[in-house]
Amino acid sequence: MAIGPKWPSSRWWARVREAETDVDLVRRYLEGDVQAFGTLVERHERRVYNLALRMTGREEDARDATQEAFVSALRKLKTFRGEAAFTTWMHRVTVNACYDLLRKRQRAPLLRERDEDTPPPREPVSPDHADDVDLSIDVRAALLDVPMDFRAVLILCDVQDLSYEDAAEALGVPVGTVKSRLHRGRVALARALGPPGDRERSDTGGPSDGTVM
Amino acid sequence: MTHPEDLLAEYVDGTLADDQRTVVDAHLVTCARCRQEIEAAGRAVSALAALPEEPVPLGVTGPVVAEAEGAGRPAPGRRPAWERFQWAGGLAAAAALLLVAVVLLPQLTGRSDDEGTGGTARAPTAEAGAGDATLGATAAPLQMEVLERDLDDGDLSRLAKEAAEAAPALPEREASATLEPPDPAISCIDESGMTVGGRDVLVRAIQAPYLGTPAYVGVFHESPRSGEPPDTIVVWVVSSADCAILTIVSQGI
Repeated sequence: MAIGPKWPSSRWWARVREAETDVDLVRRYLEGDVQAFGTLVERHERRVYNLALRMTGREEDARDATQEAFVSALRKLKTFRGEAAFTTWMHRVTVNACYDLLRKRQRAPLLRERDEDTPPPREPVSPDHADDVDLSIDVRAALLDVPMDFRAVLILCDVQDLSYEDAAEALGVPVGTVKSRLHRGRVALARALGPPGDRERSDTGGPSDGTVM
Repeated sequence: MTHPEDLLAEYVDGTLADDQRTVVDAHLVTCARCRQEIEAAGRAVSALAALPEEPVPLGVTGPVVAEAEGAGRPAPGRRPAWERFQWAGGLAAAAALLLVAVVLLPQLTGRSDDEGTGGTARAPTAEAGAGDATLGATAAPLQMEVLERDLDDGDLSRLAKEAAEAAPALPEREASATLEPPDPAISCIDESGMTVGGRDVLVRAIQAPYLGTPAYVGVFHESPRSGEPPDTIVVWVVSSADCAILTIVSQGI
């Protein structure tokens, strides 16, 4: 059903749609209400973009991956079963878009290029001196040092706050794999962030991280 | 020594069942490596939790929404321009300056006295719907989009590019935007000297700071001649304080 252009329809529909579930919107879109897709996008674009930004490490790639994720969601909408939450499904589509993009480009993300120009200090930084801004830049750069499969779990569980089960669903791996990758990923991230004071060899890596790629 | 690796994530998250937690605690007493890992994992969790959520840049999702909205239509080429930009309506919801567009832009200034400030909610529906036959399908709401974030030149060229990608291949009617009550953005853009003749169709009106200055942004389709399809996108930025032109971006279609 097409929504006519008459005022006040768009506001009225916006309000009606707030109460609709994602599954309702998908159904509505498949039934021909083409504007329902826009509402889905509005609801999810922030999560999708931030997932892509943390996965790829640079805005330009995050824009591309976000766009690609929604294009691919649009194409695959018919296959969305409604068993998993739409959010989980959308995370899966987004992670796949990021994987594709990262594989295709096979180049160092921007933050790392910058790092090569001006290597960041590797000596321990006292938490007392690290303000929030510096910290978040460090975290973004350090995330890129974590292998992709581990990074995906870290972002889904610790940034996007998905449950282990939803992350497993989004990544198409068993829950046990999510838990072990989550732990290894956290340890790898902490190493990349630099030691809190007592560890020196932050780049040599531990026995089990960095081997999955 | 066997390390209970599969339990450590949950140990850090505090979601382990009591019996399993006891197992891990017992292990930690004798295993320095796992103690270190638990400490490191805890730091990683706090660091990730502190990552700020970034806003989605302009123009990222517009094209795919336009594609979705075009797909279900019998004659996509004939859709009025404003519909393609409705995706941005969500941005405007907060400000809710929902106003209605019916009249020719050139008439705006002349008519603003008559239309005045009266009865905001009445006429538009009647006018838009009841249909002046000459305006027909283009009688459509144009929403003022209000953005909190500061725009820069990159944003403007993205706006222009996006508008160019979505621009129609067919001639458009001149009817575009009259905001009721007469909107300061339109008067401001008009006052600043933007040519609003039959060649120009306003497709988006945005209120947002531009490089720190409160501004109105108008995105126009410009045709070489009235009655021909647009060939240029013009993004017109004026200061909302004094209607001075801040910048103009144009983009071929």
